[in-house]
Amino acid sequence: MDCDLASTLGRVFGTRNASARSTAALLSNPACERRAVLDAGRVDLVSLAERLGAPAQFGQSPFAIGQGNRFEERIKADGYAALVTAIDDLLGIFEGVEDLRSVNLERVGGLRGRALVEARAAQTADVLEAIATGQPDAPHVVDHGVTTLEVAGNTVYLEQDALAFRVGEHLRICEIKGFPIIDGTASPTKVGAAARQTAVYVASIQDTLAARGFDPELVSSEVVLVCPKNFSIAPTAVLVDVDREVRALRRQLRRRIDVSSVAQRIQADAGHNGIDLEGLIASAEAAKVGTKAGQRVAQEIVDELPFHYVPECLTSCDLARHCRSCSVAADEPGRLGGDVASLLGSVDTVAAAIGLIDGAEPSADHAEVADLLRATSEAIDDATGIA
Amino acid sequence: MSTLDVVQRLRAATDGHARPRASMCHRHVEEAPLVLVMYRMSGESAAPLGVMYGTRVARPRLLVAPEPRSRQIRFQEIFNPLAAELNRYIAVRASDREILRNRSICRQAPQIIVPNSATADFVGPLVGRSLRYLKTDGDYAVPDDTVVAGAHLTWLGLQAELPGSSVLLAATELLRRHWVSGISDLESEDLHVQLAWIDPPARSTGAKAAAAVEERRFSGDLAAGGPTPDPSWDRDVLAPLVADFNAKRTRSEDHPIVVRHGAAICTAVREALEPTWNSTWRAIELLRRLPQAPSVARRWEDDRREFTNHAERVEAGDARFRTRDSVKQAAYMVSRRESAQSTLEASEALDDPLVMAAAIGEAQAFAGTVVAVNRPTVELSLAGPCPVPAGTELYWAEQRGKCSVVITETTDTEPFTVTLETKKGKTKYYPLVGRRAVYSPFKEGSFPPPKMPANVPWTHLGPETPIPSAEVPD
Repeated sequence: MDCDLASTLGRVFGTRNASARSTAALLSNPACERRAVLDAGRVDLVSLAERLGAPAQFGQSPFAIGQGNRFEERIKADGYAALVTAIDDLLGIFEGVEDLRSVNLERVGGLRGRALVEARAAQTADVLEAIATGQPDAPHVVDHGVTTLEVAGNTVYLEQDALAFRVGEHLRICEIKGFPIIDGTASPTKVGAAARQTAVYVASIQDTLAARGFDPELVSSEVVLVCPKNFSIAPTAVLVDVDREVRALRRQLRRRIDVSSVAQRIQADAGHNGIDLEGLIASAEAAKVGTKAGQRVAQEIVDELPFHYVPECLTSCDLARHCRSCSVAADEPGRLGGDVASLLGSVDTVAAAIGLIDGAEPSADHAEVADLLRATSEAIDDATGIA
Repeated sequence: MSTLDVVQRLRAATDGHARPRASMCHRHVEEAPLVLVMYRMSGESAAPLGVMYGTRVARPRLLVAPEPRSRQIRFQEIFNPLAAELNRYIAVRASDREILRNRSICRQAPQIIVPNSATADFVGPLVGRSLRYLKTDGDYAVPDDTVVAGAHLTWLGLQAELPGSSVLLAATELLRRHWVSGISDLESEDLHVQLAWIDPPARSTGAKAAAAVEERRFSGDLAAGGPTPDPSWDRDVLAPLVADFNAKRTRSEDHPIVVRHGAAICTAVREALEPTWNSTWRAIELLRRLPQAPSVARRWEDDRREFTNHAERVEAGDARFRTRDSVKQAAYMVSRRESAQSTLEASEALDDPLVMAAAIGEAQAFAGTVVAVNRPTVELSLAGPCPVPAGTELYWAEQRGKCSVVITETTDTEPFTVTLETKKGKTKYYPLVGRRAVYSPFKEGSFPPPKMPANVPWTHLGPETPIPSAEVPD
């Protein structure tokens, strides 16, 4: 194959625009090569899951979207008044600021599509530079900026949901989320997801600053999370340190350079196993979407990408249901939960574990786990009266 | 997760049939528990769209707020009537007393059973918190009943955190406590899926029945178990109905108008909640088929005693809860829950041979046949070498921890035996020769309940701990 496997897959299965959310997915299951290769090709996982016959059920309720928009509108109204008050209560950074200047980079006159995004990115970088050099007329609030991040050799444009606030020559990132903070606490899952997503923005702003010769440390890794307070739609702000997430993301991005070697290995393995990956890809391109044949060939291609399925994938990855069926087909114990997998160690199929329970001769490194499983099985039989 | 769970899960995954984790029911199940099934409005933190509740499977009552984002509609259609019903259910129990150990306590505590953990988290901490501080006069006043119900729900949520409590139970957790399915814990939070594993139709397997349930869910034929909103149901079913309702009511929030135009939403909510209602009752029925474990009554008595205290506080108008525990309170709660957890683990193992099997499998305990009794020593023959090292203190299971022994001798070649010396407690009692005896680390002593610490304990000290200091003049 003359071009990269990842981008070929993107061409065949369709691509999507990278977002902070999809980039943050790098942090949830870094061991999964299937996801790594598909993400590198920016493959549209939602439509791929459908093509594989295992559609995902994520997406947002129209009511959630409506409420999120209302909350955002409300706190941004009157020149970000409510938002500025909430942040000032937390950090006291706007004390003595007479005329609060904000800039909204959502539109650039006459431009659309790619050109618009690129122009917004350039403007965002200019604004960040103005803040970093301490220009007196630099804005205090930067809304709807676009920044870039290098992911696996591609420049990814990120539309910032988050706002950037100027604190002297420094920057604070502020992420607005719709889940409530009740009596100072919020759902740890939701805060964790928000932290991973905001880390992507922090990293890309650091890169933008670095590219213009500034210290990336000008942007604080302590980000401000603004959420509805208790049961109202009044905002409350808290600090969340995403330093750990930013560093994990950097590590994953460095590892991304290896994706092409992973892809090469996958191609070599396929060839070694007598699988004509190139032929499969050609027939996937020819196959009609929604046909049985199209589903089969898509499955055959995806099967060649090594997966790392854990039950938690079901809560975050669009391909999870397909990978679960792969995991069942491979009889992996890990599909039953992390506890099962860690107890079994290198016993890598359910059938092998059952074999050990039923008296199969264990290898030296399985002797200990075999003893444990057998003793437990005997105790169960004893307790349930099976002789 | 114990090795027993792993073995049973591997077996279930292999042949598609769920396995038992217990041979008895380890939670109290009331004759008429209050079952609550809910669906939450997406994007709102504590706004239910619909609640199905009742104490009998054949008689579900339904409350629907066709536009839960309107505060008036939400309270008038759901919170206020639900609060009144809940208070009636609780008041009956609060007033029915008996004298037990020289103290008047309630004959029954309330019991709420919900389909899944998410509903339990929603009704207790969240709805309870949203109602308990509301004002009963001035603007946005709510009836007294609503605030009192907030206190009740908060108490139920707190009490349920105590291991072994049965006042607020999630069906998914109840099923997981008693059976093992061939799926991960995360997947078993879907009540319909887990129930299909445990209770499949005749001539099917749990695995097949669960796959069929998932298929129905993904085809939109079976709504999610609530309260977490289902985005596709919201989009395809609810959104058009709500738009229609809002157009017809022309901003009116009057009860008769809401009822007249909300009928279609009521029907949709009923259809969405009914399968979960039925599944929750089915789960209760499965539990009732198991014999009740002996120590359940004592744990329920603890619930009843705590409920009596709570009811008295409500009666006196003292049922106040902080938004966040103080540091001392938090430390006290941790030690209370830890002590309840270890008592629960011991009681369950001593009650139920299948729970004890987990400890035997993990070499914490052993069972053998008594071959000789020479007071104070007991000799047991074992199937293999004694898994517990000599010198360990164990308890004879028969005496539920009241008779302590020490292992003095073990043989590691056939015939395998272990010699135990009776040390403390009920030293007059010995097992009979020829009988099976179990020795385990479990003792069911009557520990004194932990006391509120006088000072902040070191475990709860840290840079962010607000340490209350005595006020002294300069």
